[in-house]
Amino acid sequence: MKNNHSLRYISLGAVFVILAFVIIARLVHIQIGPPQAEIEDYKLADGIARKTFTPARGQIYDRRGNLLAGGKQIYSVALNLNEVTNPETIATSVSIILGLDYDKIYALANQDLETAELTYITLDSFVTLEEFERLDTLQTQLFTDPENAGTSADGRRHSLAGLVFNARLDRRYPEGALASNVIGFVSMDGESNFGVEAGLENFLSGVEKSESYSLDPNRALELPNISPGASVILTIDRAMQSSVEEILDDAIEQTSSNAGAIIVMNPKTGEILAMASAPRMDLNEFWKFDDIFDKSTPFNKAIDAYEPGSIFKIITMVAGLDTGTVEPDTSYTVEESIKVGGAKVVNWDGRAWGPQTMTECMQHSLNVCLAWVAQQVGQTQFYEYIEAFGIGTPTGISLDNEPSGLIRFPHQMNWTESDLGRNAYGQSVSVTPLQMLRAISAIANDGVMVSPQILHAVVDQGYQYEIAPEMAGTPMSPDTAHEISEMLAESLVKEASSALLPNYRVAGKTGTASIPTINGYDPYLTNASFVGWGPVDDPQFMIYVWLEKPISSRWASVVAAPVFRHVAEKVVVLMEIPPDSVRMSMSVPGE
Amino acid sequence: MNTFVMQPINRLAQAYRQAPWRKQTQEIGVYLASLVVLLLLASIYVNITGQTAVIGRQIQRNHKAISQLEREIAELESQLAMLESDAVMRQRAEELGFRPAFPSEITHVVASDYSGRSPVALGISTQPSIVSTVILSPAYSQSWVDWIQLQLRTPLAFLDDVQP
Repeated sequence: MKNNHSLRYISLGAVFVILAFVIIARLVHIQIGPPQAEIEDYKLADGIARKTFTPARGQIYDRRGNLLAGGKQIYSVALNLNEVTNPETIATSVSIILGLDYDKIYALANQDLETAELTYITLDSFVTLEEFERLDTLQTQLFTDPENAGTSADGRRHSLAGLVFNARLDRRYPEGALASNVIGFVSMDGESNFGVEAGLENFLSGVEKSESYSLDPNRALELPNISPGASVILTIDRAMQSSVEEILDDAIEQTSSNAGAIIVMNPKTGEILAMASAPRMDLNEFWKFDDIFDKSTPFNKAIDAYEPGSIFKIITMVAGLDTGTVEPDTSYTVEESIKVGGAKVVNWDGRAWGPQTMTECMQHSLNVCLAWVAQQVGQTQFYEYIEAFGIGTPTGISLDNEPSGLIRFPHQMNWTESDLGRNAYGQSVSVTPLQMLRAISAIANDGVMVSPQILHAVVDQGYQYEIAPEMAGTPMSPDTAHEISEMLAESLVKEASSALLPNYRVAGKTGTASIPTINGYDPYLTNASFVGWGPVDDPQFMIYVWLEKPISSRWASVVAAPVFRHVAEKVVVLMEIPPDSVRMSMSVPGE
Repeated sequence: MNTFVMQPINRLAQAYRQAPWRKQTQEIGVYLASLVVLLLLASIYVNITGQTAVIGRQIQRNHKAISQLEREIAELESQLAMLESDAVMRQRAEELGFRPAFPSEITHVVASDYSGRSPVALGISTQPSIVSTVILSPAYSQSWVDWIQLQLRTPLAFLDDVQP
């Protein structure tokens, strides 16, 4: 009986001892056997992984919610040598699907683990979704159905084990070339270039973080929470942008211009509704940038500085009116020329025009008259107005590389008195179309200047933060604003300008500027511009047109003014602005 | 009579209490009971730890799935935007016989409550509001070991519950 008990106890003890040995053996196996290598590979040994988290880039929308820049799923394909079982299958598949060199891939995949410098090798960083799906499907098929996988020449079973895919988001521009000059692009290396892509980089890119985190499932809640970049809503209206670009392209073709730009702005808020520039590029093919834009061609003509010519006379006349130096009916006998600081100023046609009112001076765009006005205002006050209008300072719009333009002030060494006469009619000064719009917005906005805005709102973490309109000063009184507006509206009617829009009263001014070269002004080529706004009694849109070096005619009244009308025709429809007669008879709130 | 009857019973009871096998049984019982309690606690601990690990792994997997879904959503949004791009919509409109209207072709009708087309709203609010968060008692998240450690660190914590 006693022996029976002892036998049972010994047997039970033996069972427990064997079990204990099995457990210990398994523990040792895990710690120093093949599973440990796997753990090392995945950096599980210390339970800590380090990774650089790149947040998804924010999206770009137009004011109607149309996606202008979004995400595109792409993959990187890499080799994990620890898992490779058949280098030949990998080399064949990757060379066929990704177009990579077979021998190179085979050599990489067939490396000896002990002598290989790296065990994780990236083969291609820009694999499309379609290419990934083909490789992934093949890999899954070979894994799940090894019996039918077949074998390669060396007798090894076909397998894509060891081929690793990592997904990430790249940039896609669904509209192609539309508003490309405004949007800019993100290149292959993730660098943002031009436009809002670069100008709003801080919003869009989010904050990249390099963090260590525990792989211990019990500490799963400690996983880093990386917020994506904020999305932005632009002030651009896609439909208007598209129409304006079409008009610009037609105008460039018809006038054989070198390039051009058109901006449509709401003068009350500074919102840019359309900003067209030529040339443009399909942002999805950003590698063609160098083919389209040579060194002398700016990415966005709308923020390129140039001598504006007669458009600048608006500022000169405002200075005259606002200081009380002249009035719209003030008469001045326009001679053939006038000397300012020893330099001779002549009219565009080189002839004398006789007695002219200030309105007529603007209507006929007489350089002599405006140089005289600048003289009467005096250099100190004249340049105070120029400074108040923000000439020579960037608008601060969220577009990359906005130049400040160039103007010499009397306190500067290189200023001469002759600059006063030239500046009066827009020479010896360079501005961007956007700067001119900011300045002239004061006329259409009761004397208050607004800063142009391209950013309507920022959307972050589900909240939308609207950007408030920004006033940029009051360079003139409301009375002066109304006076100059009336003068320019009247002058358009009197000259039967091709800028006139049926059923809408508009105001505006042409600008035909000679182009400065190293050897003086080019005698043939010009910059043709037109700035206009409407309806005059309640301005809701302001349009700036610039055609560079038009060939069909050098005069802005011939080439730029009709473009203004074409744009205005689209704008009143898209902004739902009724004709003046309808609007006057009823109160229709605008947008 | 009573004394005569009770004496054998008391002796029997005393003998029962003092029996060596009974003492052994008591000791074994206490040992086994302790073992059972320990095993019970251990099994509860293993069970909870196992569940926590499983849920932790699920959270890790969900994180990956969320990232993947976010990428897929971005991809699909882009594809949708391409299908609805200006060029595509214009072409479709032209194929259907439409063309852009001229100002003279438009009839304006007064709509008293219409304030024009507003820009899109992609966020839920223009200003961030205070987000209310639910504060859970540690009892819902701490493990048994955590609870023990907490009690050891604050040995008199249980006294806080004692009312005078």
